[in-house]
Amino acid sequence: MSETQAGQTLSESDRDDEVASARLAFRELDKAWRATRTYGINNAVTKRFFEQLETLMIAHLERFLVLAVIVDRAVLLLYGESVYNSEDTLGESLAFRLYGDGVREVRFEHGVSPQDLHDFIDALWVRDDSDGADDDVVTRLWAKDLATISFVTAEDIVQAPWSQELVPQEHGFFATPPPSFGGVVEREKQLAASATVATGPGPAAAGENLRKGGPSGLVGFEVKDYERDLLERELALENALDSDGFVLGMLRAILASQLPPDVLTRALATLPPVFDVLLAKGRWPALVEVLALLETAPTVNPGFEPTHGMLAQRVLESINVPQRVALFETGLKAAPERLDGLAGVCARLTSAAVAPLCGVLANLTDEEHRAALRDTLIRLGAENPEPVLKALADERPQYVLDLMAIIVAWQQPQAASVLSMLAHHADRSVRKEALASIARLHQKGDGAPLLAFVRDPEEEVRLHALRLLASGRFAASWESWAPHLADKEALLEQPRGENRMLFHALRVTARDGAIPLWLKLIEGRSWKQRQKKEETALLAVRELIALSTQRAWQALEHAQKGAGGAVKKAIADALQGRPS
Amino acid sequence: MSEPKPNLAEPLLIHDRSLTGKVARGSEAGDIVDQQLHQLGTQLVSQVNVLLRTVRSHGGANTALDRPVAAIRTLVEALGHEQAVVLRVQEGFVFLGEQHLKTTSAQMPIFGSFIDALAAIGVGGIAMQKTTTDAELRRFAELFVAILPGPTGVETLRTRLAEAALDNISIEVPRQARKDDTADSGVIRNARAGPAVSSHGQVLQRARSAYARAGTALDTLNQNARSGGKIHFRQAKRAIQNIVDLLLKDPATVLGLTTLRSHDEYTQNHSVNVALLAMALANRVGYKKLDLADVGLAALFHDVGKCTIPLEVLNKPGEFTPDEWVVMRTHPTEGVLALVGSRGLGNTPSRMAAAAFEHHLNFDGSGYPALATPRRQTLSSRIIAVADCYDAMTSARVYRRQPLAPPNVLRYLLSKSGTLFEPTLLKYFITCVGIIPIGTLVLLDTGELAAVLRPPEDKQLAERPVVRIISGADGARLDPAPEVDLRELDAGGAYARSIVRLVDNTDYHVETSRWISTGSGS
Repeated sequence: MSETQAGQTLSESDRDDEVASARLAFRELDKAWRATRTYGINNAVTKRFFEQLETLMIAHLERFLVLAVIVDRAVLLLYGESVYNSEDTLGESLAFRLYGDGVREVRFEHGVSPQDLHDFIDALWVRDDSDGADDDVVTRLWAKDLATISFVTAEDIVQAPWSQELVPQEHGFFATPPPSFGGVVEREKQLAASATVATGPGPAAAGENLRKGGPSGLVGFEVKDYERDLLERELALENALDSDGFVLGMLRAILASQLPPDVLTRALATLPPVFDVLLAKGRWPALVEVLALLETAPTVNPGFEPTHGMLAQRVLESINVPQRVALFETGLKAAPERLDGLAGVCARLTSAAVAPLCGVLANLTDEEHRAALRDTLIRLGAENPEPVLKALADERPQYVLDLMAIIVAWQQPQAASVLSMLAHHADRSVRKEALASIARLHQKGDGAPLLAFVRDPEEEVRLHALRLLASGRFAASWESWAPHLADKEALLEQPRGENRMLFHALRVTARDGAIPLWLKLIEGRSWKQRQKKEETALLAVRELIALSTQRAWQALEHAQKGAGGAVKKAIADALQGRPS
Repeated sequence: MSEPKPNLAEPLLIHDRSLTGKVARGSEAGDIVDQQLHQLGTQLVSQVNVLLRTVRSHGGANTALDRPVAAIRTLVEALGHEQAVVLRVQEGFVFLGEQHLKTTSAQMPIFGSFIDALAAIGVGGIAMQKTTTDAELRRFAELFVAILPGPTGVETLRTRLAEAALDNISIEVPRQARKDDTADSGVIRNARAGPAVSSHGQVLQRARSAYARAGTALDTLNQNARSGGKIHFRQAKRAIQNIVDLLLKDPATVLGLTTLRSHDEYTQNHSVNVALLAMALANRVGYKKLDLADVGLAALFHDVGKCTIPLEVLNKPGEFTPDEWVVMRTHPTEGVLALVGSRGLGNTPSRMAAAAFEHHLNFDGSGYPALATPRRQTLSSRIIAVADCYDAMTSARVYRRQPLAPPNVLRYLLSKSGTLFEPTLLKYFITCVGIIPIGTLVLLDTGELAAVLRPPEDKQLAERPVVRIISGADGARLDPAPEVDLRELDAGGAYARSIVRLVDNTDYHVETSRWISTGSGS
């Protein structure tokens, strides 16, 4: 019976009205609950349902003041009549959500606010329904501290017999009281009579007050305003504490103190999971502090035994474990702006972390984050380059560009050959940068790494490669060139200017090795495109002349016989002007 | 101890190997913790339900009963200690003993069937002794299903059980709900205002129940911590939240429970008492409701580090050796390590960790653990330290048998004001327990002996608490012991009774809790 009608006899129609109104209110509550679960509390649809709920609930409570229902499995009852009954699965039923955790009754009161309704539904929304969860619907509802929505649990209302555990002590120091306290009374009376000021044990002030016999109050125990203010400030500070940081402070205090060996061992064993939390939250400065403490504790803390030192070292090294390194990504994304201390953490990574760190780098988009990891990999990868080099096979352009920057920073010319495989990368910028990187790493010598780029689909890349090869700093055998020049038709299709550069590069790097190709180009009879054939042959002649070796001249002499037209004339002119 | 029956236990408990082992050890496995109790309770409901349904369809002699009967026996053996295992249906909810069995949607068809079966014949609970036999279970099920639905079913069944001489199985009628705080009465518990209770007696009854639940939760947590399992707070949280509600209604009555001094359960009682005292003190300081629950939970688990101390040291009778003291003094650090180790850094409540770590540090920085860098206690830890010391000194316990009378402990605390304890907190503490603390034995000017129940609401009359008169002027014990407010005046306008002496109850080995926490002392 609701408070409005308490003590009165409700007419049947009044009840029917109240029940009907309650049904409407719970129908809207159900919609709001489902929308919250499906779309979240801030969704427009959810908000609309909440508005409807508020309207109906407030209307009900304006009229009836209270809406108190009994929870019976998936049904809510008012006056024994169902006002809510979920039609689908129990898991979807808000009534069952209450029942499952033992809520017997729920009551909404006049003045219910939209916030209270939000909080009520939020409390029903279970995040962790496992047996081991710290909260359930009851604890969450309680913690919401709702002014207008209350509840009763089944445990609350069932008359349990008084607990058997709670019995006074009747053995040990205390005993079952005697049937008479006559002796006690007599002795205490005598003591009271002989007392001058105090009247027994207890605080002096208590005795003083008793002696006065009048209303003396808590003399000396009044809390002054400034004392109260001080505690209030402390309470506010305590409530504002950074919980993780505070607990971490305790762990640091333990590690820094000369405590029993077992305690220190356990404290050290506690740390690796602590690293995980700090990494995942991006709390770099805190992590640096712990790591620094681990480094210094074996020498600074006299309680550290050699085994502790070894354990501390193992704990320190555990930061390189792949699963742990992977948490850098979580941490960087959790606190993208907070990079203080990150360098300090990275500085403590070892080369064992290179592979997982590459995995993290692959998933980062923020330039500052990537830069931090690149710097680390530059340092660590020099000792353990394999994971970085292997990662070049990745398809993601930005990641590969970062890897190249790292590799270049190592300044190891032998890496150039690995970079050459990027000639097949799908992204133009990668190929271009790969070429530039090779040039930076490998400024003279074997030109083979550059050859991979001479047939690049991008003209800019091809020309850059050719210019480098033509610079005179590189050598490349014909055998190295041959795979790249196998398609003679492609040579004919290529612009004359580019062929000129190609032949130039070929001549500069392969020297006499290229003579057979040029001879073929000059003498080739199978070619159908006469004009282009002639242009290409002339370029070949030019290169042979420029080569100007004995074999080159011999080749020209030989070619003169088979050539015709402008080519033959060009060879003849060249042979005429041949230096003696 | 019976041997494990893997063919029966395994299908039931395959999801929890550790539990299988405990079930196999039967009731000697005192380490079955709350969550596991819940699992076993759910299994028991399920198997009893299967038993009843199978008997209904196949009769009591069918071999299909072998499996549920054996499973029930295994579960009852595991769950049963000295008392019977009782499955109850109360107000439509299923309980294992006094513990509500949380129900999932997947379990509801089974629970629903069980609830309906009991409700149809008006049975409130089925109690099974650990000595229950297979034959008794079969016979019980036959008799149960033979009862026709109706309000007289429970009595008929009871009669038939008696006739069949089923000594190990009995039934209960449904317990009565407290109608004072149900929706029907329009006076149900308000989440913010706390439970709708109107008398000290109601508060006391509820507080006792919450006290016991907090103790059980503590026990569970300690067992979990000792076995290296995960530490959970839900059960404790519910109990503490309940206590906060009651404390806000009637702090003195709730504090009266702290006078309980069970010798055997020192650790458990002590921690619950510290929680109660700390919450009461924090309430005086101005903690909000949610913070009170937080500090209560922290206080309840302040000694969690003791779970790493060997039981032979922890429960050693007599004084500790210096080496044992070294071990005992590790418990604050071990507490933090246990919490962080079990729950992880991100899930360790800071107040709880602080309480575990700092409750033996002192206001002036002394105490233990001895840290390389001086550490100042948090406010909550200072509160808990006062509560811890007060309760420890007034308690009889294994390694210090001689307790002190509450007024003497108060005197001691005050003597350490500014050194061991924060002076302002001590002032607040005195307003909580009274200048003549709850539980103090006093001699009145009438010659009567009385126990202090609660301090007066009027602070100006601090030495005129509410007491329970336990003996007349001739020393004869009074039963029931009347409750008297010492502010009452006689016909002439003078105080009818006044305290003339605070009696040291330890001199006479008299414990006053029976007159405070039980209502009458009888």
